[in-house]
Amino acid sequence: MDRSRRNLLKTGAAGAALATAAVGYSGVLGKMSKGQWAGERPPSALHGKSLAPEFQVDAITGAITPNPDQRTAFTMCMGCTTFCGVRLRIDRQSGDVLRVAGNPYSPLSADPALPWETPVEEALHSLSRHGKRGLEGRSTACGRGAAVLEQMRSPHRVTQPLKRVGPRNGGEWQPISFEQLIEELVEGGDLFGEGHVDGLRAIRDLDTPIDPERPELGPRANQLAVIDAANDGGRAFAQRFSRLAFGSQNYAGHGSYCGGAYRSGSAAMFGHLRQMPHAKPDFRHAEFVLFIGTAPGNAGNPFKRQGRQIADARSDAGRNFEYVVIDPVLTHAGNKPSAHAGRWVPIKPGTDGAMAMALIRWILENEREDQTYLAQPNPDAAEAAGEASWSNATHLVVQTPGDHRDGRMLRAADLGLGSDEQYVVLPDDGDEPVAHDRLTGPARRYFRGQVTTADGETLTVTTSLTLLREAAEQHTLAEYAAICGIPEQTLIDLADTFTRHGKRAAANTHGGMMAGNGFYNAWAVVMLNTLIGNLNCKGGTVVAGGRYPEVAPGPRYNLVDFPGKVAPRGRHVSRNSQPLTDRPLEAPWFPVAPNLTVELFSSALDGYPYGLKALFLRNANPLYGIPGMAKHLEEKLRDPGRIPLLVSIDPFMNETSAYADYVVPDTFMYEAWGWAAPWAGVPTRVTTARWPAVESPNARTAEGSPVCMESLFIGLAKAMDLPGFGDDAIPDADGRLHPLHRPEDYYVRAGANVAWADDPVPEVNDTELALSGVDHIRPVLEDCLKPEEWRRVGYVYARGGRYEDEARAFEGTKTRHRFGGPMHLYREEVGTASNGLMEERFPGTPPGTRPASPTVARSPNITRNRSGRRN
Amino acid sequence: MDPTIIEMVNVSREVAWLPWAVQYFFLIGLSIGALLIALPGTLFGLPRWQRVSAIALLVALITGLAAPVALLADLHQPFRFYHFYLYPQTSSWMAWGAFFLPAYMLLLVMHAWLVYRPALSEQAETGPRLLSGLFRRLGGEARPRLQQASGLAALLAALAVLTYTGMELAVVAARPLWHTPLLPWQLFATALVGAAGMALLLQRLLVGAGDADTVRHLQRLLIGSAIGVAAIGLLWLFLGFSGTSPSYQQAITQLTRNPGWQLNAAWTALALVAPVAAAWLLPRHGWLSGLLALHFAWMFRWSVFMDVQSLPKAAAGYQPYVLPFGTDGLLGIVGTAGLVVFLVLILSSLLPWQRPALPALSHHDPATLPGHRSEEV
Repeated sequence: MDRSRRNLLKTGAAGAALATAAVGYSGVLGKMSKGQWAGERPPSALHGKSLAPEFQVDAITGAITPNPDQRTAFTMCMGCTTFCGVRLRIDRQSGDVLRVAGNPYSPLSADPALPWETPVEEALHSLSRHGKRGLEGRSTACGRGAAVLEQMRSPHRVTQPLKRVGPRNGGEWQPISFEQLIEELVEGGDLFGEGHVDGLRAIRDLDTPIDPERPELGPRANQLAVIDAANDGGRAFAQRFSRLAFGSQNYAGHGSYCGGAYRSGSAAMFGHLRQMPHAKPDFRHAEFVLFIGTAPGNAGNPFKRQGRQIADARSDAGRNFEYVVIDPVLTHAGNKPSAHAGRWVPIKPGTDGAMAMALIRWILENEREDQTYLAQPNPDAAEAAGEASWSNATHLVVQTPGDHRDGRMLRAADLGLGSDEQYVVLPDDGDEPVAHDRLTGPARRYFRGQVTTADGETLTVTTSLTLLREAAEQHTLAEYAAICGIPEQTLIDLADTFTRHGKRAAANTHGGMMAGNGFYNAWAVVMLNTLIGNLNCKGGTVVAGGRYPEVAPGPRYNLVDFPGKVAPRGRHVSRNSQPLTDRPLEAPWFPVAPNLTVELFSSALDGYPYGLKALFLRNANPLYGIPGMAKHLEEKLRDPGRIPLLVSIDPFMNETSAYADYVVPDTFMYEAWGWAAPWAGVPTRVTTARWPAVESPNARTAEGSPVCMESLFIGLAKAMDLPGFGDDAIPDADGRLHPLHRPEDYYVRAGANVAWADDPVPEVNDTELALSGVDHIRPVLEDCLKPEEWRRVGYVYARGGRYEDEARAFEGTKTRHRFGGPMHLYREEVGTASNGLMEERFPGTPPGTRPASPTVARSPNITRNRSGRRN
Repeated sequence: MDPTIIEMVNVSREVAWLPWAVQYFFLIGLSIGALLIALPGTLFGLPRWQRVSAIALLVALITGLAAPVALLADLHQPFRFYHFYLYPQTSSWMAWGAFFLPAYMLLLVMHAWLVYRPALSEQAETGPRLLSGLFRRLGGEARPRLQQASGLAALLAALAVLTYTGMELAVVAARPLWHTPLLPWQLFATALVGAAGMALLLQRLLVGAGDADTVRHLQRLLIGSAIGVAAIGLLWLFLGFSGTSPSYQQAITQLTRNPGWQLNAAWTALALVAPVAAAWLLPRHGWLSGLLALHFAWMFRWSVFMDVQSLPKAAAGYQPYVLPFGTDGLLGIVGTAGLVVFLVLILSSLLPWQRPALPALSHHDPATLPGHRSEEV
């Protein structure tokens, strides 16, 4: 090759190589051209993007200077079902929430919480480190509470009513006006070109039965059902419409696909299968806590309080505290820095009942239970013995197969000793049976033998404790260990440790019970607490301290009663009542369960015991939340012939809303009204307030309210002239009727009940109105309330709710607010129930390893495997 | 890293060191290795090393000029590089490197200039007209003492750069696989393998297949350094499994269970054996063992950087690195290769690299040495 050609080639090659180098380097050159900050340049080189503080505290005088560009609000987070009190910082110009922190008055967000009547200025001051207090007074939001704030301005929010175009789950929507929405929902018609759809007016028939041959199912109005997620403070309002005004029996929450198994198991222990009371450990004073799932810092309710109190307990060198987390999953609750205080014990999922029964067996065999506690037959004897609660361990249960009383508690009337309301026990030091409330001392704990009834019949009876022990002895410890995967020695160690702390030990669980056999698992776990008698005790378990009733008959406004109120009647569509026996059953019944959303769906779509004409979902997503549900029900849900009207009220689209006919926006978090209270775990009275600190982006109704659940139900009720809405809806203490046209008409008046509960609260002054940001809703308060009321309600809102002082939590070693009923080692309601499809009754005491009902192969509708595995 | 653990929730971290770092370590390693191969000729004046030194010095220049370009790119905010000089952090090896590297580059260029001085003034007569003025100014009399002094200085700077590049990895205690004193030595040994390889490759491309002696010499250097790599590697494995450092042992034992890493180990071993086999069995085909040696040096560094970064510090699984196509990934690698090709073409054309001045032999006419082709290629 000649030289010039070669040189040309070489030059060309060199040029190409350089060009490649330049292209490859172009990104770097681009970054270099941006100068020092190739990435995003923050507003400050020292402290980045941090916000200006909302107030400043003078280092010497301690005086507060608020930041004029921001305002505060004490309100409620809705990131989870704890509904903590939080403190917002809002930018005055944009009206947006800048950051979420904790409300120092709320026991859910501060430990200890400030006394409730502390002036707001002092409360703000306590949040600072003035006076070398460091972080002592801090009040926080958890990670989720801080992050869920982003959803408020999410571009995915539904802000206008949407009507579907095309088939269900077609993904096409048409925004419609609120008026059109009301019109179509009420009157119905050929709404989608698929045929006539009954509107609510047609569905609301309170006289005609759904099935003339079975009037016990109730009137046609029951064919409206409402499902919500949790009681975030709006449930009472929704039920005012659906139950009390419209008259439908069918309202369900999320419990059946969430912690329902735990709540029902606890309900069996506490003896209230519908209200489902439960207790939580007193973490501040406990010496040993056994977590079954519900790992602190990962789960639990109240989430933040539990996490914080455990963190404090395990890092306090002077505190005698230990905890164990039993969980199939390793979480950071078991970590090396806390290894001196806490450890993780792995377990096979769904076998917690076996673990608990193993502990129960060992405790009873080695007599480590609190025998004094279990021996008390009635509350008076318990109090005389110094106990804080009592149990039915000594009460006799009929165990005579074939007898009609088999499985029932023996009654005093059966032996001619008293009434049907009295049970029967044997005294510790005698043989003669006696009515349970006649004995002033301890009764016999174990008995299996015969008694003679008033009619001369012989009945075999046992005490409840005997039945529990016999159930525990169904398996050896080795067998329990094999079932749950926890070594036998570990089980023994757990039982030993649990019973070494008197009443200052507790077993805690909640959602960790979500398995097909969760009901009995949960009951067995809470049985551990009963065996040491720790209810209502410092360091043991405590029920909720209660609330300051908002939706109440008074004392200022009657929000539970109104002229024309309907009493709903008939069976729930989710089959949670005694089985219908006149016909072969097509599905099991759940006489000991509350409203079950899971069963509601299958019932409604298959029309057994009856179908639904309209289903309203509020902030609920069962298609996503219930495992396997979508696959099972998708086809049927898409068929408008089965549930003809499907409405979703939700600030966001979700997997279930995708199938709806109408999606109605809802106010979200800090734009909304509501009143909520913690479920348990706070031994003092708490009512948390939620009020609109920021404007909602939703479309407006004619009254100027944002389109939301409340304004939807108000609009529907007014269009149908239902009682309890519109003019003359809310009676006050003098009987005068007040209007309900906007959400605030209801919630603010509920606030008056809060402010007047027991003793009326002080009035708020203008300084506090400004510092707490409540002056933002001052016009609303003045408009809805009487002159003597609005400042007291303002005082409540200025603190984000009303909270009893924590110093009042205990009287000595017992809680001030106690659960007074007995703990049930045997529960008659469960022991006499059956699901209708099987011959046997449910066991009336936790057996641990037997499922509640076997997999039913007969019914074609029941294809879920009850152990929780997918088919 | 235990395959029996199912991880539910974790955070995946992005890699901090990008492929640019691999490029930089590769190129600077080649440069230093090549300089060390060149020094027996250009510093000590050993005559048998003359042609080896010639090609090696060219390799050292080419890669030494390309290396800092890649290094600058690895900074996520490259314009900030001057902060190294405004705010020196004397406790950081990388900060010291910000001084060592320019020193090395400067001394390398100075040494190369002194080596080429006599040839440059010749080139002023015979070379392209445009550059004759420049060449005349740069060229001149041979200065053997100065050349030796600059060679020594360049050697010291090279050792400093070698130390800092190895140490800035080896001090990272959070990554047990890096945290070993053997790592800087292994990087050095593999750099020598790579340098010999690149020299072999360029020898074939620029000079041709004729000079069997040089090729054989380089092949021997390649085999020798490969044996060093193998020895260090075996020592590393032995120390790892013997438990002298518990975290180290744990890291290695867990890796042996992972099929991806087993493949990695096999590939590395094969990648080392291949150039040695080619050098042993096909000694005349220097370009083959050269390519294979380059491949080994590069993939070793890729393995050390990117694969080790795919091991999370606090999690059970692996976080495999997916090479992006953009300038922080594939395009960057291709771009660096383009820069090297450019430098090969330009420097081999313009510099009188085949006629280095050797200190003791400065009075000999380099043109009379056997095997030398006087016309430019």
